[in-house]
Amino acid sequence: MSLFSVREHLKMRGPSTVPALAARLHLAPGVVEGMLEHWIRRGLVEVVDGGCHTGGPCKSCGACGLGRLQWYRWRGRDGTAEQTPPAAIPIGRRAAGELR
Amino acid sequence: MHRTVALIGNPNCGKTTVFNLLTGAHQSVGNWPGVTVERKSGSLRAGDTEITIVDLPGVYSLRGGGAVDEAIARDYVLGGKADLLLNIVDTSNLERQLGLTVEVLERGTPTVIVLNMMDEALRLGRNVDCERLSVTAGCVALPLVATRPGERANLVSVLREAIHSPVTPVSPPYPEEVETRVNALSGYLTDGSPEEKRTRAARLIEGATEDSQAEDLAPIVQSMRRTIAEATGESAEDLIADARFQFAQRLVERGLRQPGAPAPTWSDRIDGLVLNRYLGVPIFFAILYLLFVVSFSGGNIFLDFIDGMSHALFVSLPGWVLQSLHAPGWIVQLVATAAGGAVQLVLPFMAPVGFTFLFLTLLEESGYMARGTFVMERFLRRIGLPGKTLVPMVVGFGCNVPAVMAARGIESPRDRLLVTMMQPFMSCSARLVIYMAFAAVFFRSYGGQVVFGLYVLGILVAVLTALLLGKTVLRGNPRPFMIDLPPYRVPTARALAISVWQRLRIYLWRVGRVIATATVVIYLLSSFAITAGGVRPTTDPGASLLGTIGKAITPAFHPMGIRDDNWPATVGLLTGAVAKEVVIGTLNGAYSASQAAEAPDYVDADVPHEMLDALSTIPSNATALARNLTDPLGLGNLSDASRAAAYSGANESTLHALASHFTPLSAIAYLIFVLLYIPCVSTMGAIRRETGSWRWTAYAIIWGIAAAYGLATVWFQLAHVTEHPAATAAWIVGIGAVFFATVRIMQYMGDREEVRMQRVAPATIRTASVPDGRRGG
Repeated sequence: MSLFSVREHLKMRGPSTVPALAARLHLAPGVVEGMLEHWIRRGLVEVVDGGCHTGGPCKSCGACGLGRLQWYRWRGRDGTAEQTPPAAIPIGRRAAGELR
Repeated sequence: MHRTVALIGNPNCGKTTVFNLLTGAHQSVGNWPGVTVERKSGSLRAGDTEITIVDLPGVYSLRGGGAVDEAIARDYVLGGKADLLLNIVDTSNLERQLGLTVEVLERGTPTVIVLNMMDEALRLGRNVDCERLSVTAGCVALPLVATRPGERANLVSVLREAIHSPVTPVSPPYPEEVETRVNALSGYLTDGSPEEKRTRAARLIEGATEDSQAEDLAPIVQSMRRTIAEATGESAEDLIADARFQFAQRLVERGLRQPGAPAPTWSDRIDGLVLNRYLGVPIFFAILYLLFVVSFSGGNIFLDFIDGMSHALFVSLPGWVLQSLHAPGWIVQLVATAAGGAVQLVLPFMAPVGFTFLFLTLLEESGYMARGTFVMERFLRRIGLPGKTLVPMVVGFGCNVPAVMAARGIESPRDRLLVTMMQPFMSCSARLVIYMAFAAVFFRSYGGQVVFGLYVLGILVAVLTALLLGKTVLRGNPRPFMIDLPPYRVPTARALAISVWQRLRIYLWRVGRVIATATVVIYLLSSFAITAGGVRPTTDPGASLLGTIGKAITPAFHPMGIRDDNWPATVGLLTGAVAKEVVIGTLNGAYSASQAAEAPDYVDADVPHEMLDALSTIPSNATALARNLTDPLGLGNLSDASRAAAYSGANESTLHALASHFTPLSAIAYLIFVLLYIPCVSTMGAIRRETGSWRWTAYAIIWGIAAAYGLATVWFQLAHVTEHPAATAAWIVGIGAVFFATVRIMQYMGDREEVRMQRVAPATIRTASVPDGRRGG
């Protein structure tokens, strides 16, 4: 149940990154990306921007030495997302684009 | 015989290259009906078979529902218009691309998986077992390099074989609860092959609405979705998606030959050392130590040169010009002595600050900084701090504001608050300027060590703060932590130069502007006295309003060695709350004002000669550095002010004033205070915004001032213990008592908070426990 293990990991252990999830759950990073995409499309996971020392959002320039500060966070907890999943499955904002 | 083959794959998987390889010149371009998405098709002849090749839009998924590309691809594949699907996969990124492959296989249409860019994959050391992949997927998996025309024949023959003897590929198995309902629902579907019906049924249960029978079957589908959710606790779409991912993962596991444990690379060997359980932390501090010592010593060579040059260009030259134009004396002093002096104060530190930025950037770019963060993080977790504590630290070395913002990535509110409270103690680049100014005067030969000590002290106080909060007000369990370790790489000169210049520009422009403005404002403020007769100019800054305020609060700073005549230092602390670099601007303005009585004369200024003198300092400083290397500690007499002044070759008047108002020991006490005492206004704002609480902002301020006062006083008192042992003992006991009282109060507040949290908790749990399946959809 690896799709659910990604969810449980984010729920229980807080925000994480693709490589961290892949290493912890013994999954290929590409597969993890796809799974996060699924949860994002379901409105239950969101991308958190760690911020940048220049003041703006992370532009993945790597200048901070931290690699991509792209974190994924479970957002079902506030109640709204879990209770109202979208009727159809929207891909309007391509989730993959958000992953890039 | 005529057959249709559709090419499907992710964007950038080389689909067009395969299309060109197959069809050559026989291509036609149009639009998909009703939309402006380009539709490419071509033809080829394989024996007696005429094959039409249709190039579908590059998509990541067939689930559709929004983007037009995906709807086209989905409708085409689902509509059974193709006799064979050619799934093109970028083998170098196989795991990511197999997600679409699984969706294609699920359709039940005969499929060939084309493992494109095989050369690239081999170069990356990816070993694909095509045979096992074929068996698992139930269709041919063909390795290909589409850019090689020689591989066309093989591809065409595989195509012909697949067309003549079509095979239904393996479909991902759904969980039993889903499978039974899919089978049942297939019975209601009117037309299509069994595979098509299974696909359509699965899509309906998934919640898709594009099926022609979707409306009629809605009540049945809804009831099935509900039953599945009740039986499994998960929604049908999640279960089906999971089945696909598991199948994709199986394809990866079977299809990718896992190479045996590779020989350790040099990167692994370095990691073995720098990530070592016991050596990691000492190595991190050793590297940080070297960074500051080398930066300061290296910067020292140019410090006097830039100092002399900027005196010539920004003080003497404008002073000489203004005096030649017979400008009023106060304008000459304001422009040349105060404003020019501010520029002369900022520019020289460009050298050591620039070196610090260079080495910090080097550490970050090379990939070490992430490792340093990792070992510190591991160490802190061992002593009970939450994970991700130090991720913002590196950022904090630049500026505390984004460091506070970087704590956003932390899920638990408790950990987030802890980390936020730690950030103001990180030495930011504004504080670096103050350190450098004092180091240039008092610690010429071991400034790097002093700056390093202050950075470490900041980290220590931050850790202590978090430990204290974690044990009292913010009790809870730390969460595990993981950090991505980027590969080591040799930074390019260009990337280094850009990064250093960006930081240096911020330093010169932002910090310089603040210091210059503060200088002029403070200079003016301390040149006017408020008396019974109104506001009037004064030549004694001590009599000015600023001087009066400064003198009134200076006694509070006696215990850390600030004497009454050094009231500008206390005024600097007041104004420094706006931004730390204002401290140095204030000192500059106030000291310049007190020297205004003996107004410097620029009539005889010899600018070219000054510049030559400045140039001559480079070789002498370089020799001094070489001498220093043999005596790296260079510990001179720490409490001797006159020697310290003599050490300072700087001809900056403020630096001279510093030397006469402080001793090296009181200078360190002052620096400790400046490091810790208060977050600057922007950081306060960030803390307020991120914590959403005025109380926590107030805590950060009060706690900072208390820690600063306590530590600076303890340092100064201990340093002078031989002179007044009784007073030292009294101070230390007093500060200790206040500290323990504070801890007790925080413990009490922690108990109260725990009770409050227990009252809040149930509501949160209720919201989170609504099972997925009951939420409609």
